[in-house]
Amino acid sequence: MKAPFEPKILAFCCNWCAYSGADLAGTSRLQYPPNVKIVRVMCSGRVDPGHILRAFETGVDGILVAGCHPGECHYISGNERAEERVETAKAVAGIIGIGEDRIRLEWISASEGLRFAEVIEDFIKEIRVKGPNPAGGDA
Amino acid sequence: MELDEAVRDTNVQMCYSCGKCTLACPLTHDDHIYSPRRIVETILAHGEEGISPAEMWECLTCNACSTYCPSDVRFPAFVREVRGELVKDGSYGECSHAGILHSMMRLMAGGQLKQKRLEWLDDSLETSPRSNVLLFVGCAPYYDAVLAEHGSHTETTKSAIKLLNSIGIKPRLLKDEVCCGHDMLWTGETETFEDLARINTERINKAKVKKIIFTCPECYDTFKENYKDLREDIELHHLAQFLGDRIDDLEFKENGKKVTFQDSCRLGRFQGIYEPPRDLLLAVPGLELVEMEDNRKKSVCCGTSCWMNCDQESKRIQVERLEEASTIADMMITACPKCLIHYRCAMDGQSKLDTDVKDLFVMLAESLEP
Repeated sequence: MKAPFEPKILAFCCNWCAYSGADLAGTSRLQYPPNVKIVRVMCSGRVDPGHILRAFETGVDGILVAGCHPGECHYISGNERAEERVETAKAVAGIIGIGEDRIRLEWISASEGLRFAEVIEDFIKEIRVKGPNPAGGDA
Repeated sequence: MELDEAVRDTNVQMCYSCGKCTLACPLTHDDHIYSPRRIVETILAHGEEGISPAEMWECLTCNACSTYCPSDVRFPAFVREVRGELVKDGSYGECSHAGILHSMMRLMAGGQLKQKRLEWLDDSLETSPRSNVLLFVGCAPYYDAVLAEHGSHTETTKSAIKLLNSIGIKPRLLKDEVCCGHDMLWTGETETFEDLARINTERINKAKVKKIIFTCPECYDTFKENYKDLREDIELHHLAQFLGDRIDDLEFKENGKKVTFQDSCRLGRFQGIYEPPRDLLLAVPGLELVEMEDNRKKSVCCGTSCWMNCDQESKRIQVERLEEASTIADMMITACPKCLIHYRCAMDGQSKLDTDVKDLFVMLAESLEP
């Protein structure tokens, strides 16, 4: 029997806000699905569209880029850069047929553990409806 | 590794150490030597031990060396073979743009993605799904997304359609073509290239077209030299050559610009198409065409190939070329999307460069009589 589809989500979290938010979700013992793997980056602006496409290439079903709220970036404007770069990645994902809605950009502060858990839960729900990455691959 | 075979197939054993290649290489200048002669000699003397991966990835594969080689050593082809073996051992060049363009090619090679690659088409452009002339779009829609800061690249495709329409041809465009695989082939990812070539070949053979027209010299060269299973009765043309043969059917309006033409390596040294783009430019009334010192087969590479190893040497080559162009002309014209992207990139932050770079077909379409 074929195993039911379990989305594989990759989350790029900035060190200062989103990753600490994820940490808080953990220390607060909040429950969220285990389908997500977190990559800590110093800033959400560090995430290149190339990293996102590479992740899709290896079979990831959805990608979350999470950084500090606007105006709160530890590096002043890194999250603005993240916004531009995610737009580029979405444009490419749209043309190539993976779908731009498999990429999500969220602002999560270090105190928003609950929000982190909610974002992950919601994104996984959305990807579950969309189904597996059409490019195949096994991450 | 099948080094002996690569040496034999590419005539490397015929090197008699004259060193013309080193002088011809655009990477060689006062403080930096790139010597195909020394690379070849070392490999001939020491076999696999003599291979320096960094040097293998540094080569621009522009074919300047082979053009001057009196002994017909095909150095770029040799580099390509060796890269294929290096990739198997996990060695790779430095990818620009975090490898996004390479990822796109690998994703397309899977063949199952439903691309939306023709969203840029508008009503002013006449295409026909029943035409037996296929226009190969290539990666332009992707360049628009990834390299938007260097201008619109589907503009070139749109201009190509306008030019074809003006001589009464409504080309056919395939919704499901994939990348031609040029960059995968030249970065040693042979399997990915084979997949891309197979997908394109199947889809084009099924489409029952008689001609394929390319705006990109790399696609043209790859189809011509490396697509072995394409139906033999399909004619392949680069648009410059195709229009060059129909110059009398094209009507251009006056344009008083002074321009110079940058020969790209795939169109020029690889395929020997030097005159058609110049003939087309000269067909525009009032347009003055001046030549840079190194033109036609002596033309200088645009400094980077396969989205790889873009470094200070690349920038030096680009800036020097742009400086030369800007001293003699108002505008540099090229018929290769990569030359265009690389020169436009080099112009960023170089305010002293008083020149512009434009695609040949965009320039010609703008000069068409309304």
